[in-house]
Amino acid sequence: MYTEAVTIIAFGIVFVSMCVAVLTVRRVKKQISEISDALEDIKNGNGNRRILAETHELVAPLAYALNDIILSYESRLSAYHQTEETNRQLMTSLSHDVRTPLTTLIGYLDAAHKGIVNGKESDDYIETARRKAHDLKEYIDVLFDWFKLGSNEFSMNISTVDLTELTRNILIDWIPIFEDAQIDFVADIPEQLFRVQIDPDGYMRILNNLIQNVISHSQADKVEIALSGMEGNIKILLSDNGVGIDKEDLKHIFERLYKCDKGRSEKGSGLGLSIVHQLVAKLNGTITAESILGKGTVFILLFPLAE
Amino acid sequence: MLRLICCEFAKLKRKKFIWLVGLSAFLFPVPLTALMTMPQTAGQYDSKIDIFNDYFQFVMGYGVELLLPCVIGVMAAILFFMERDNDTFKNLRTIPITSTQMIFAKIIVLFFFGIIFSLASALISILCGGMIAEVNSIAYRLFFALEMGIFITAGTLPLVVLVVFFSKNYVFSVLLCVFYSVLSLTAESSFGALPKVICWLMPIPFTTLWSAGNLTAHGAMDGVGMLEYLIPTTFETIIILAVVALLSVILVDYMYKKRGDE
Amino acid sequence: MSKYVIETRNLTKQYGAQKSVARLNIHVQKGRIYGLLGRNGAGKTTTMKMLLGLTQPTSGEVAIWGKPLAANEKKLLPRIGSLIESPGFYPNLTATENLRIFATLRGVPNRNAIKNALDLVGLPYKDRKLFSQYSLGMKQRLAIALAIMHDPELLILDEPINGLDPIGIAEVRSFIRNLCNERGKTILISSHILSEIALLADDIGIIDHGTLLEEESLEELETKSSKHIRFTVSDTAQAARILERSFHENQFTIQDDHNMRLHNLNISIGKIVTAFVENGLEVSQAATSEESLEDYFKRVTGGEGIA
Repeated sequence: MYTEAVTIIAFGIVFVSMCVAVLTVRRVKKQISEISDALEDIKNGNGNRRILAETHELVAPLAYALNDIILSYESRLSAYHQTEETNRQLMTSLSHDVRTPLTTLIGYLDAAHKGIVNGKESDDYIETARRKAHDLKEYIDVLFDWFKLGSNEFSMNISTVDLTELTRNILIDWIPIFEDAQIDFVADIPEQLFRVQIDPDGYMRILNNLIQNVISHSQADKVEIALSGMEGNIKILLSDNGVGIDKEDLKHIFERLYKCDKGRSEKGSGLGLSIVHQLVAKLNGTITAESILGKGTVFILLFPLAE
Repeated sequence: MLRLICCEFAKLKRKKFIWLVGLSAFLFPVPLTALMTMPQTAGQYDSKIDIFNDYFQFVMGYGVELLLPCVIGVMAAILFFMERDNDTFKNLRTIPITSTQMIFAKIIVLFFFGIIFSLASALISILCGGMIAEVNSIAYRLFFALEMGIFITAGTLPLVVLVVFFSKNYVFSVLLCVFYSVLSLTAESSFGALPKVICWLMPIPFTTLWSAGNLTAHGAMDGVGMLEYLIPTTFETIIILAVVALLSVILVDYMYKKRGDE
Repeated sequence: MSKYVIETRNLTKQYGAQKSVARLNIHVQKGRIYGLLGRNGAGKTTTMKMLLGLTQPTSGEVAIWGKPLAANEKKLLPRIGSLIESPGFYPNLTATENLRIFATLRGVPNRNAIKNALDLVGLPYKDRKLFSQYSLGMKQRLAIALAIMHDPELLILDEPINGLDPIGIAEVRSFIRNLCNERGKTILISSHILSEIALLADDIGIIDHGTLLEEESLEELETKSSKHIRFTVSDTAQAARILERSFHENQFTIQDDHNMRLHNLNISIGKIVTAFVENGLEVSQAATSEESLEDYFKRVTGGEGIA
């Protein structure tokens, strides 16, 4: 009786272990063929393909290691594709942004050249064309800056300077422009030294771009700039009482090519604030913006003070 | 497949019914132990071996043959309604797991529970029986319990077909299970009056006939008396129950597939 | 390799006498978000179910990565992540246990897949809370986690923002956008909300009463639906000059030597055309396009509109 039972149990164990062995080999074989399929697909350029395995399986460590490698290559590739895509978008919008002012400019010059207008009006046309040519040059300068920033060719000359002095010098050039545009301008710069490690040229571009942005887009009649110290930082506030920026738009204003007034062809490359953002980051500062629609916008710049 | 079965068990985590299944294995052995120790019952037997033989027969007869189909039926309702009630069928189908694979896994889980239940009943009866009577041929009895677990589960698969076919709520399924058990019990009590074909075509009574024959052959039962002509051999039992089980699985598979496509 | 990730050919599903989806031909391109837009009951879910093999088409076929789905489910489905109708999970298990079941059955691309997926949708890993105690929003998040757990190449998401609060909607939206932009995933989403699709999708398919009314890129649609006047003239340079001089208008873009768009609809076309002709320009086309996206959809769906 006992021997019978033992024999049956022994046979059972042998049978079960053979089944397990056969099944394991079959499963691993199937998985290896799946892995080669996936690798073939990946070789053909599909970096999104993953090899799936259950955590405790025989082939799991192999599959997971392969996935890691594929993922790291894929993320590098995808960063590259994204830059490519942005550049493509930039080229498209660029050709539009350059073509419209350039064609208009040609329109004026053609009219003067063909004698459609003459005398004082002709001079007037040439003057308009000249102004437009300058605007276009400004736009191209901005573009150039942006590309240089993007390709890390922007050279910085960091030195310790007094930011109040530097800011005053920059603002002097803007006063006549504010007067022309009939904008009230208030500068609140304390008689105090704020020594900051900064590239003076970069700082000038930041401030110039921000002020230009306010003049071009805010429709404000009052602009205020204020400097103050704050917990080891210097805080620069640029506020206006213009149209303000919508909450949804505010999140994106520092992104490249983002324009609040979509579809409008008016001046503006969509790059100004993106350049500011990148420059500020390169100078170890931060920039934020707050806005109330219809009431105005405040840009807040922070730079660490030198020890 | 193995992973699918493991997952079926994982899905039962925190299901209170599983504990009830465990407890129900004690439902018959314990009161029966008390009954057997009563002088008027114990007095009828010549030896302590006879007491244990009868006691074991009662436990397997009521505990396994009567209760197990109910337990399996309710388990089946839990397992087969799980994907329907929780809308997880789509998650499994998109892995992809076919409904056939799913059904096989669930049925294997049913067999597992059937075997465990039957073995547990046998073990408890051996333990309790040891206190009141003389236990003999333990290995045979455990092997017998294993066979019973498999046969009864296979014999309950037609009930699973009904449960899946009606695909109603749990209460209705429990009623179906009780009906199935009562029907089987009625057939068992009127073996002599029923034609052989009917007795052999009802899986649970058929298994009871086999168990009586098997126990007698191993000296664990006094004899089957007049019913000798009804007793099937083990081989016949396996063939008939395998056919019943196979047909049931095919039917369940068909119904599950049809539902899934709606 | 096929040009499309998903392509259907005359896909039809009939329930009794009623056609739920009729001769549908959609084309989903790699690395793009395709939005399936239609009212509730338009056939979006049925279509997606057929794309996943959850429902067998009455006629027509589905090809994924150029292979017929019906014969290749085992190879194709593991590469797809999906969310169909309401989230379906086991109520007696926690989020982690639920995901572990599906991770075991399908396999995962790395050891921390479950944790990563939960992190991405903002649910705690190994939390004790059972699925039955989850809020609708958390359930939806878990369903998204399940869809992305195996890092699939293609995501099929049926109304993914259902049941989410506004913050959740914004999170999921940017999350889906990132999957496409940064990871190069192909995504098919459905929605009955026009603005949702307009915010997310690159390509849009409009489905109504089971038929595809329109399939186009959002770019094309936006051009179609932006407010502008289109001019085709013999010389855009002169036209630009005339607009600036005679109408003091500078809101225009110049496409090429003959085509331009004026973005201000307040000027009468007649006056402009007269001015152009008086100045010796030939005008071959002048047309207003002032349909909003909503108006456009109302028109293609036969006046009933969407949502």
